Amino acid sequence: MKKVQKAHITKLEDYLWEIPKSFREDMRVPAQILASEGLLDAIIKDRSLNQLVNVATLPGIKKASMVMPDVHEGYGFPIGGVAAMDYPEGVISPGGIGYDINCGVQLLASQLQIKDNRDAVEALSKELHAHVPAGMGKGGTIKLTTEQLDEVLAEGANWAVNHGYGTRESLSYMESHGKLNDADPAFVSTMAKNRGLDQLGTIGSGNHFVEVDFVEKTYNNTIAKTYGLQKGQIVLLIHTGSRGLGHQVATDHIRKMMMAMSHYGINVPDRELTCVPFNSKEGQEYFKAMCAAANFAWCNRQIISWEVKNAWENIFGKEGGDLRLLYDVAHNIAKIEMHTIEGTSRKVIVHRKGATRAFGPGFKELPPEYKGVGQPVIIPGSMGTCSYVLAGTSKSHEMTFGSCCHGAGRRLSRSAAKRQANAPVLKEKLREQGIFVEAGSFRGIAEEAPIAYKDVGSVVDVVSASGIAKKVAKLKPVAVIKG
Amino acid sequence: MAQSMEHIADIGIQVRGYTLQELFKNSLKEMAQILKEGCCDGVDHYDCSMRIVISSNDTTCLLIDFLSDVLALSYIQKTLFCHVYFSELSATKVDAQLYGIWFDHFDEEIKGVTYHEAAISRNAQGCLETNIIFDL
Repeated sequence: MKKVQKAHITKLEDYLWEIPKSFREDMRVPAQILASEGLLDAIIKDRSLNQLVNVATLPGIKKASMVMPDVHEGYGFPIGGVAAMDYPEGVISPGGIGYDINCGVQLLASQLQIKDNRDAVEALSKELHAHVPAGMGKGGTIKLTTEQLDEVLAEGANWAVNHGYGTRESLSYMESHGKLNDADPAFVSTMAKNRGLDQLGTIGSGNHFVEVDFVEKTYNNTIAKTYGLQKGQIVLLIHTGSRGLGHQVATDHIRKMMMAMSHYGINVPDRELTCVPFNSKEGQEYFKAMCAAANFAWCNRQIISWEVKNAWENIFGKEGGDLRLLYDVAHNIAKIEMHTIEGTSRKVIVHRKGATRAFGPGFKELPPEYKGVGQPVIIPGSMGTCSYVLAGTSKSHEMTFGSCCHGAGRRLSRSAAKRQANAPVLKEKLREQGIFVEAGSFRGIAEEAPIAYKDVGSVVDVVSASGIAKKVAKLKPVAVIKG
Repeated sequence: MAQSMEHIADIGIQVRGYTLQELFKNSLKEMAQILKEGCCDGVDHYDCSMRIVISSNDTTCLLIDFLSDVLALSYIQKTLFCHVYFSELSATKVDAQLYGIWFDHFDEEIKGVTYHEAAISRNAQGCLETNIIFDL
């Protein structure tokens, strides 16, 4: 298949580019790229745009297949992709969600200022490392029975709150209030459940982390104040997902769909785009299992936030005050949402793989104080750079099915990062910059070195300039805990 | 009979074998190597043995499904499987006994064994080969 070149791409408006439907015969809709010209030139170098074109061939896709400026090559769908399918006849594709179902980010806001607590950061990083199980193969302290696990899969973050991990009030500050009602644990295999029994409250490895940051800068003081953010304030980020349970749900259902796809007359250009109609038996079984795995992920992040609060209290005591949940967002998920397409409001199945929901003001699910300013959108960068808090806008509904970027986006493979980054030197260099890194291995540090990622500032500038999200605050890391 | 490939987000390998059994065995060892470097080197005693039976649409799917199930068993049993004995290995079915060693901690977390770019074919040297991309 021919590779997408810049000559194939048309500029629709500032920061929005299109590969027309005519590029390939099997495309059902155009493919759109949200990027600056500089980022587009970098994006063209890998195969992510060919993957985006492949997504445009899926049955039932509406308007356009899209990628955010942090896009990079994945398998099947590109990472940073958004695709909305007609409900209920359009397809659902596990590849459009990813193996780590409901990988997402939670942001906790403290009442402390960095200037008064710089000396405590190293001790806090060690305490967090001791309290939050991280790394591959590390089980958590909670060992569930299969009956309890089914409760988690059905109830999501509610299960954590019901068992003393956090407050009921915090649920209002989670996307979908930490629970998808369509979850059905019956469609989660025994193998998947076995993988999840001891993984609640664990972050895993790879790019997952717990991070201590401070607010380096606020861009929009009104929204920052609404979110409870102010310059110098210490905040904490938690990035993880549904762990092995979610990975197994994806594996199981991709395999089932692969067997079933021919019954529905569907052919896909990449096996990782395997899909079936949403309203088919296999489509419904996957959706209900995916919702269950998403619930597991929300419960997981809720329990990790409880572990983080314990570590916080051990260092700062009662004087450290409360860690308030500012918001929790998913960036690997499929949801049934209403969007206006060609002037008509309709239900669609929105796939977000490495993309964050970014709903604007007035969205009824938001807590009352956020309703006037839009949903918080949390964009983690890489260790050593910075992260951002944005606010969703109504323009995101018009342009990107209410979606935004999810991070900086990788620019180097893990092997290339390991070749270029000297982990012990990097750890020491970060320490000199006031960033303490606690990791299970030097290998993990090298693979996730800042050099492996695009400039998160350039990515955020694009989503801000295009109008799909507003910049609210910039966060600077002071401690990173990784698996 | 394997080499690593560059992939921006994940890890890829190109694996080869003169027979299907050899291709499956080499793939298994390479996956264990990603999970824990050097874990199978010089191992002559196994802590754990498990039977695995899988049927798939075609041989490429069979290899990916085989690795996916081994991966899941690795996590559940906290075991790295280094050796496999095949009772049956056809184009669409595998019935095998896995042999592994217990481990508390792996180096890398593989989230999934993907079908992306996997396609078993015979190369000019008469060797079976395929790419395998692991989602990390």
